[in-house]
Amino acid sequence: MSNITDIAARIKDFIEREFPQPGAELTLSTNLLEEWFIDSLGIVNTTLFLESAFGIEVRRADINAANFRSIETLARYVAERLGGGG
Amino acid sequence: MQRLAIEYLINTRKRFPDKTAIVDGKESITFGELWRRSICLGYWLRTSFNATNMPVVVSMPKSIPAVVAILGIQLSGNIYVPIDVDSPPARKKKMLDKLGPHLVLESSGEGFTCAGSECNMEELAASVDLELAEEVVAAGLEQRINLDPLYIIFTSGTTGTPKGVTITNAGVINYIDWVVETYDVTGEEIIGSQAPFFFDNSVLDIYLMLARGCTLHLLRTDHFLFLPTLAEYIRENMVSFIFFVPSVLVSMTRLDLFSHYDLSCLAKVLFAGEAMPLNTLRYLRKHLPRALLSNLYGPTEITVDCIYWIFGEELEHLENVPLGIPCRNAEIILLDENGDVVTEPDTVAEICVGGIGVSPGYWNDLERTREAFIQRPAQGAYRSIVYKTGDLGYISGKDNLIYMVGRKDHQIKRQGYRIELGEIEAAFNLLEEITQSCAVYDDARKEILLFYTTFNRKPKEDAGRKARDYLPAYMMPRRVIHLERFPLTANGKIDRGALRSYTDSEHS
Repeated sequence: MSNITDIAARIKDFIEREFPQPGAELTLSTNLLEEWFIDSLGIVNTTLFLESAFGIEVRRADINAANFRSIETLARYVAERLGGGG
Repeated sequence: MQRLAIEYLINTRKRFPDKTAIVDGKESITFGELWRRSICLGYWLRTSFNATNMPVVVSMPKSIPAVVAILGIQLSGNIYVPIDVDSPPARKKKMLDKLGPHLVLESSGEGFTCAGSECNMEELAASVDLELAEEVVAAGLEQRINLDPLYIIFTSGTTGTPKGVTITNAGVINYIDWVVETYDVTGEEIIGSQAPFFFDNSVLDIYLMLARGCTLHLLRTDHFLFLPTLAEYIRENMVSFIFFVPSVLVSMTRLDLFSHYDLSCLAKVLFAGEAMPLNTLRYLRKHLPRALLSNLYGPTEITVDCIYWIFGEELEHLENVPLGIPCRNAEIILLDENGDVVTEPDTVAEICVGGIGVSPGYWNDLERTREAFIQRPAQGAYRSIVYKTGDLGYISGKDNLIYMVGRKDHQIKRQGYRIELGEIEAAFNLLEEITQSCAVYDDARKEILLFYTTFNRKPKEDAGRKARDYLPAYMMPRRVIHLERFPLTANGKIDRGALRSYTDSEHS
């Protein structure tokens, strides 16, 4: 069972690969929507990544600004969906 | 007989004064109030600046005041120019320079500002006699004719200077009347508006609302960021009519939102602006079995659209998504490289458009106007102008529909063969699981590269092998690359330039 640190590391890895921003530093608390360019397609792809990488179902209503704010919030969400891991 | 597009509002506000015209988040406005504000602004512009047929730039975000600006400018006898407020300053400057003498209208607190003067809506409404304002405005409009420009919308030019496409009142009236009839639009329609006002798809949204008294919902940009909120909004507000770019529908499909949300309120789904992938179209058919699904096509230089198709039973057997047949009063001809008309079916040539919807040309740019708007070949008896779209297509011998294969500038030559990158994309789009594909040509290496995305986000290992069923060897891409997402331009289309540099960065 992944703990929240592992989850966050995998999400960070995905975001860096998916939305590379040379020269900028991505941290767990970086605001993905304001400081890291994520567009509508990016949110769709991140959602599908979370579903396939962690085997969870992202409830469609959970695709919102609160959960997508940072890697931290995304990781917490995944852990919650996995059943309290972390 | 209708002369000016603004007459739609003049008639509708009398029929439905208390009906909601526009909803923007928590704000809304009735037709009566929309009229009152527009006439005040029109009167103020007319009496303050004494200009006619002058471009007035609407530099404001998509909102109710932006619609008031668009209407007020028309009422003042001038031409509105919606521009992207987020456009880089250098690009904005190029557009304003191209306009020559012009005014810029911006929103401010209680009203508008223009050339240093302020128009406070509430003060103006209190101090101006509405009847007098209507008389002054009507007297000004008396002088206008249906061929007067209604709006100018900028489109990118290959040389880097945007071109200001001029569109007439007559073009918009012809288009809107055709849309109303073809799609049976009544006042009951609830329209969800996606397109920004500087993109001409929004002309359909705005003028259907005005012509029929429909309610127009300005969909917020964050709905398009978090698409489930868009689905929820559509369901909650019973939106019945949308005219979206295919990319949005592709993303909604990938999240399977049509299963997660009851979107059966969507009775009419129209799309235009780029190619609609066949798999997305079939998904929509499956999930909205009773909805009208229609593809439309038209560059900015034609009043919104000139070709359309409403999908029926044939959808099941299609191998490619057709553009369809000409809209009313649009003539489509295909011209080959020598400028001769092509009449044989299944022969790829440049799509050229004639008719009342054709723009009179690029504002302040006769040279580029002459290049793109030409005298119809083999027609010497009278002046008849067609616009060369730069898009390549053919008329299928099988179903007599017009199909597009790509841009003229996406045409390449390889081993002596002429190749349309669009044709390669069409072949990959036929494969199961593939949501979208894009072929680019690496000129330096003389290689075709094909990028694609899939429904399940995983690479489709046999994509290249399967595509051989549809493509001759010389058209096969050298590399087939799976992407999780396509880079997009500001207009939401695939950024081909970025794809080309993607390969550069990989090689270096």
